[in-house]
Amino acid sequence: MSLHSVAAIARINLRLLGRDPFPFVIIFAMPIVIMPFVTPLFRAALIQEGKPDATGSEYAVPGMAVLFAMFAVSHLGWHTFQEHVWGTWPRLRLSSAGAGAVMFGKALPIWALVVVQQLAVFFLGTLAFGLSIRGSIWALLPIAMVFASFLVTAAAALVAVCRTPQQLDVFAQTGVLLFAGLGNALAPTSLLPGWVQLASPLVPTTWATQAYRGIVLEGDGMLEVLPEAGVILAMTIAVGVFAVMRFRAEDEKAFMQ
Amino acid sequence: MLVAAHLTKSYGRVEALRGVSLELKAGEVAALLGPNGAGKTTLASLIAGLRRADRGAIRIDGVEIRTSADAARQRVGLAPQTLGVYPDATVEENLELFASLDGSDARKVRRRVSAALYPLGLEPLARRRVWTLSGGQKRAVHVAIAIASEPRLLILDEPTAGVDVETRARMIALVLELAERGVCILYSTHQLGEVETLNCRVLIMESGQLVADGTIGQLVRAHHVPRVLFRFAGPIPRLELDLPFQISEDELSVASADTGNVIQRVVRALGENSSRLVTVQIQTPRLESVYLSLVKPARNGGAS
Repeated sequence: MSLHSVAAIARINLRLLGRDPFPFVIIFAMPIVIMPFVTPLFRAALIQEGKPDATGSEYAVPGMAVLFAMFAVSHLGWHTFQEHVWGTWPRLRLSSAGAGAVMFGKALPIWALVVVQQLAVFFLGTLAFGLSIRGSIWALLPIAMVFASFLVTAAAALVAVCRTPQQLDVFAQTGVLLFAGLGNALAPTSLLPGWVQLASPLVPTTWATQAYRGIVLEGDGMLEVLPEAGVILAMTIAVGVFAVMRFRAEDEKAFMQ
Repeated sequence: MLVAAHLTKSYGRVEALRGVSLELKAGEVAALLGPNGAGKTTLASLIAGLRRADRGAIRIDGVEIRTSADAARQRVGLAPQTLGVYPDATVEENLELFASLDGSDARKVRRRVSAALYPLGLEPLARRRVWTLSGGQKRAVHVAIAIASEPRLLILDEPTAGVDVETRARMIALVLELAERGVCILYSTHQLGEVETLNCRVLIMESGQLVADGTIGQLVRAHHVPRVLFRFAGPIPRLELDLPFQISEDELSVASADTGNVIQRVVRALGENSSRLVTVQIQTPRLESVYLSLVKPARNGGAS
């Protein structure tokens, strides 16, 4: 796999993304739109947890950033299926790039956009929702990077196991709700049933929201978020190994009309 | 350049290829003919490295495709039957991508893109997004992508489907020019007229097998004989002729390689009735009649 091929594929995918940016406008805009609705709920939970000065944005901003970033999974998956529709997949396979470079090249722009989205939602949270970040803003970056890595790897895994974009869509959308629910992005942890609290460490969203909330409320820095970053990275590697084992470049993807 | 030996490929219980072998030299153009389902696209896919043969071996420019797939693929350009273009990218961007995937530097990529745009008349369309082009123009872009990586072996699967007369002529000219430069070309088509224009080697496939291989002239000589048609004013006069012939209303026809001899003998046999002879026509067999004679019996045989 050459960096040159990855860059060439990333470049065309970035151009295509720029010509149809609507999915990413949603991923960027929806957290801001939904934030006013969920902030009071999170504020009530924070007051109950003994933080009377909280605005609610301390939980709402990380939760919404993580929730809407997950829609990148279906976007990347769908876009990879589109290569079969456009007939470009066989051409890419036939090139000297190889399937690995193709997937990396496709994932790279989405990965970068997710990282930017995470940071942008925090930035807008401070401007519009009174979010105050006590910890290091630089510590947001490694969490955003590993979380984005998990999402693009999950998309590759779904492409590997699904035969149709409809299958992928069902898995991805269900995954968004499940991971957001278990990962404390939809509602404060303290309001969730006990079994959900027990299951929540199994999903990377839990570790991402926990790290973000630690930076915002507890004043965590780079060193403090490393354990959470490490857990998300380990999950990414596990999903990545699964994706590599299941991925067959020669698989023909069926399309329901 | 290309050596394929004893290729077999099945999809479930369907045998798509049954022991196909062929060799193509550098600079050689071979037209691959056959009815739908004959195995042409499967053969092209195996040679391109998109599918693996169940049995058999393929060598491209001396590189074994099974053991050195990446190296073999670098030598192949493919324009598959179905279009393979990014509709929301411009013509130039499509070409740039596929011209650069082998790691070529920007200057080489620009040269390759220009070289691919020019022969198919795509230069004025270079900045247009592909979805805004007509079907024929998209097909031309599709073919241009296949040549953009400067392949040693070019596989074109029905490249002229839906293109206008001018683009078709450009494509034929491009194929001949590439062959002159030493590129080996496998040209799968249903358009026999194009094959006659290319005047190239012909491979005819039927039911997963190669049933004919040769130049147009060789195939015509081997599989068909000319026919002499005699047309009369009114009913055909009685004549004694020691040749096998067929009669239909006002027409008498004799199949023979020696057409001159046939005409002499028929005129002699007609005697005084030769004044009723209106026209004499020699029907030279064409590729189409050879193709039909090779493909139809096999189809009927398969059906029975």
